[in-house]
Amino acid sequence: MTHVVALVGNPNVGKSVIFNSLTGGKAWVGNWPGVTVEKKVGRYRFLGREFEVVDLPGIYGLSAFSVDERIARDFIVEGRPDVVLNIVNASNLGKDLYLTVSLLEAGAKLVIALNMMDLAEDRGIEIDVQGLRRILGVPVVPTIATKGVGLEALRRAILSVAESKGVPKFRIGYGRDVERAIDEIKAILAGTPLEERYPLRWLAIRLLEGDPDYLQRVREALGEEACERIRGIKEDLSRRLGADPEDAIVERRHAVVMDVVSRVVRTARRPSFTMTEVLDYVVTHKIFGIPILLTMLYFAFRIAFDLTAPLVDAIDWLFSDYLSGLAEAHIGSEWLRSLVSDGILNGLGTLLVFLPNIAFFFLLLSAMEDLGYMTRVAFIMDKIMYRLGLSGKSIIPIILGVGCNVPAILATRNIEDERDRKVTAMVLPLVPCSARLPIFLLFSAAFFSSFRGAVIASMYVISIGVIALVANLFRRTAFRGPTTGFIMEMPPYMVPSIRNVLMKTWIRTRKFLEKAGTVIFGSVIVIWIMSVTGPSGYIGPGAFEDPSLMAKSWVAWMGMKLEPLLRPLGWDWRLAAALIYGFLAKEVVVSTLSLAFGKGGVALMRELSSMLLPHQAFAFMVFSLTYVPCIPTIAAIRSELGTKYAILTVLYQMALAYLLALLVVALGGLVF
Amino acid sequence: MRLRSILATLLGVAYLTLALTSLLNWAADRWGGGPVLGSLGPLPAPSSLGLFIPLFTVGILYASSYYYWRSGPRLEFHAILLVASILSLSLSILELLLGFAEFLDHLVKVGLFGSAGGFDPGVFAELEIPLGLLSIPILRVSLRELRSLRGS
Repeated sequence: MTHVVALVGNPNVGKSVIFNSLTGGKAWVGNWPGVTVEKKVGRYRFLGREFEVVDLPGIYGLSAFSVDERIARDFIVEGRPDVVLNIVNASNLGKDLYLTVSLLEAGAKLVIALNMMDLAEDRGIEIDVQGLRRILGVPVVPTIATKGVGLEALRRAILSVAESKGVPKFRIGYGRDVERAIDEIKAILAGTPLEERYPLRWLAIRLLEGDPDYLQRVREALGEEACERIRGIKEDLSRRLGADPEDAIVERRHAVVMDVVSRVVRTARRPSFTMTEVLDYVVTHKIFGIPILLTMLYFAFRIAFDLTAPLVDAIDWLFSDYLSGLAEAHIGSEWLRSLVSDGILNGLGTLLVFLPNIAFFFLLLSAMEDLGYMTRVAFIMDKIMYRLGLSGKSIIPIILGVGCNVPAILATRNIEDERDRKVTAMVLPLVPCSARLPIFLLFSAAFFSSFRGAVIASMYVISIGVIALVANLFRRTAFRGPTTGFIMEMPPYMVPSIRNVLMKTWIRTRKFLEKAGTVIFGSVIVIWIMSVTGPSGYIGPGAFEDPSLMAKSWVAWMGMKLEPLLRPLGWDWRLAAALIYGFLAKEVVVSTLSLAFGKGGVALMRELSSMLLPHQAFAFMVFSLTYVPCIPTIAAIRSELGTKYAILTVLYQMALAYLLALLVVALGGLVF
Repeated sequence: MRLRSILATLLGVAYLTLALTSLLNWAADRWGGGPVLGSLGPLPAPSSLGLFIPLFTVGILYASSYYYWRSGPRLEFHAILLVASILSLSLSILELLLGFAEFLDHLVKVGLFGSAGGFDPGVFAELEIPLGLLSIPILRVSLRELRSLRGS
C-alpha cells in the first residue's frame, strides 16, 4: 500500500529542498486536472513502506483567492492524503502558523517540519518544540533541510501519522455568536452527502467566510433553499457582530496564532540586524543594485561560456572526429553512413556541443535561486518594469522565461489584472530562452570570439529593451489602463544546498537532452531526407559535399522561397531554411545550419564567418531572439489567451524581428 | 577604521582606473587599431568590454565607502565593504579558474585535435587577481566588525 503525502507550505520555506531530499529528486511533472499549474509527484521507500509525495503550490492559507490555493485546498480536503507535511519557517513562525491552523481546521493529518532552525537560532529565536507539539496535537520535527538535519526524524513522523487512525483534535473557539452560527449551519448539512465529503465544522466556517466555491457545492447538493438559509444565518451573525463574519473569523485565527507563538517562542537575544539585512542594504540599493546585478550576470556568463571551453572542445572532438570517424569506417551503405554522419552526428553534435554551456547556465540559475538572489533581481527590476508599463508581477514569469517560455506563459496566471496578464504573456516570447542559447553561442564564437560574453549578454539587454518597447506600445494602444504593483516577500539569503542545486540542474538539463533525443532527433532526420532529395528527385549524400547539389534539395527550395525577403539582410537560403525549421524548436536552427552547410562545430563557424559580415551575424542573432515563437510557446499562448492573441503575437514578432534585423544591418553598414 | 577607509578608497580608485582602462583599451582596439595602455607596470592592462562591468561595480562600491565613513553609519560602511570585497575576491577566483580552463582547453586541443598553438601563462597574471587578494583582509575585518556590531 502506498501512503500519499501532501507537501504544503508558504513560498520560500524550503519546500523543494525537502521534496528533493525525501524523493531523491526523482519526480514526475504533470498538470493539475483542469488547470495548467504544474503538479510534481515523487516517491520514496522507508522501513518497507512506499510513499508518494505530492508537492502542492506555495500558499499562505486555504481561502482560495488564487488558483494555487484552490488546488492545495481541494487536494487536502477532498483528496484526503494520508499525511499533510506542513513546512514551516522557524524564523517566521507568526506568519507561517496561520496556514498550519487552517490545515488543522480542515482536518488534515498533519506533520510539521519546523524548517530553517539554523536561521531561527541565528536570529536569537528559541522555540519550545515540545510545547508546540502539545498545543497543536501533532508531531513537530525541527529540520535544517539544506544540511539534511532532521530528515530521518521527519520520515519516521510521516510513517507514524500515515499508519495512525486518529485525526488532530485542534480546534479554535470563535466565540458564542460565531459558534452558534456554525452549529446552525452544521445542522443544515448534517445527514446530507456533504457530511461524507467534508469535515462539517470546517465546511460551516468556510460558508460563514463566504467561500463562493463551497456555496456552489451546497447549492448543487442541497438546492437553493439551503443556500438561502445559510445566507440568512450569515446575515444574522453579521448583524450581531456588527462586522463581516469573515473578518471576525480571520481575526480570531490570527489571535490564536499569536497566542501560540507567545507561548512557544522566546527571543533570547534580539540581534540589532541580520546578515540578510546587511547584504540587502547594498544588493537592493537604488544605485548599487543594477551594477551588482550586471556583475552577477557577468560572472554567470563567464562561468557558463568560458569556463566550459575544455568540455565544449572535448564534445566537439567526440562528434566531429571520433564518432564520425567510426561511422565512416564501419558503415558500408553510403546513404546510412551519410544519415549517421552528415545527419545525426553532425546535426545533433553541433547542438550537443553546447551542452556544458547550457548545464552550467542552469547550475548558476539554480544556485542563484537557492541563494535567494533571484527574488532580489525581481525586486530590483520591479520599479523598472513598472515604469515600462508592465506589472510588478510580470518579472517572475520573465525570469522563468530565461529557462523556457512555455512555463513562463503558464505562470502569468498569477497576475490578477487581465490586461497585465495579456501584455505579459504576449511579450514573454521575446525573453531569450535556453533553446536560443545555441544560436547565440554559435554566432558569437564564430564572429565575436574575443568578446563573445558581452555579445551574448547584449541579447539579454536587447530583450529587455524590446520587451519594454512592445509592452509600452501595447499599454498605450490595445491594453490601456493602470498597471498594478505587488507585494514581494524577501526570503533570507541561504547557502545553497549542493545536492538541491545539482538536482535542479539535472532536471532542467534532462529536459534539454530529452528534447535533443526526440523533437530535434526527429527534425534532423527529416531535414537530412529533405537535403538528399529535391523537386527533381533523389540527389544523394553528395549534397553535403557539393553546395551546387545541396542547392537542388528541398531544404534549399524552401529556403529560396524566403531568400528574397532576407536578401537585404545579407542572408542566403541556408540561413532562411534554418529559420523556417526553427519554428519547430529554436535548437533546430543550429542543426539545420550544420546540415545545410554540410559541416559542424568549428568548420561550420569558419564557413559562417567567411560568408557573413559581423553585423549581419549580429542581425541574425537579433532576428532569432525576436522572430516567431516555437510551436509549444504558441500553443501555450493560445491556451491561455485564445487564438486571436496567439496569431497577433506571431504576426507582431515577425514584423518586429525583420525591422530590428534591418536596423542592425543598416547601422552596422555604417561601421563595417 | 581610518586605515580601512583609506585602503578601501584607494582600492576603489584602482578598480575604477582599471575599469576605464579596460573600456578605453577595448574601444581603441576595436576602432582605433591598438590598445591605449598595453600594460600597467609588469602586468598586462585589461582590455574587455565585459570586464568593465565588475571592475566598475567593485570600484564604485569601494570608492563610495568613503562617503559612509565620513557620514558616520558604521553598519552601512561595513556592509558596502563586505559586498565589495566578496565581489572583488570572486572576480579574482573567477580569473584564476578561467586561466586553468584555458590551460585545460589547450591540453584538449593539443591532445585531441593535434593543434600546435601554445598556452600563454600570462592569463594567471591578470591585475584583477592580486587586487582581489588585497580584498581578503577587508573582507575579514568587515565580517568581524559586523559580528561585533550585531552583538552590541
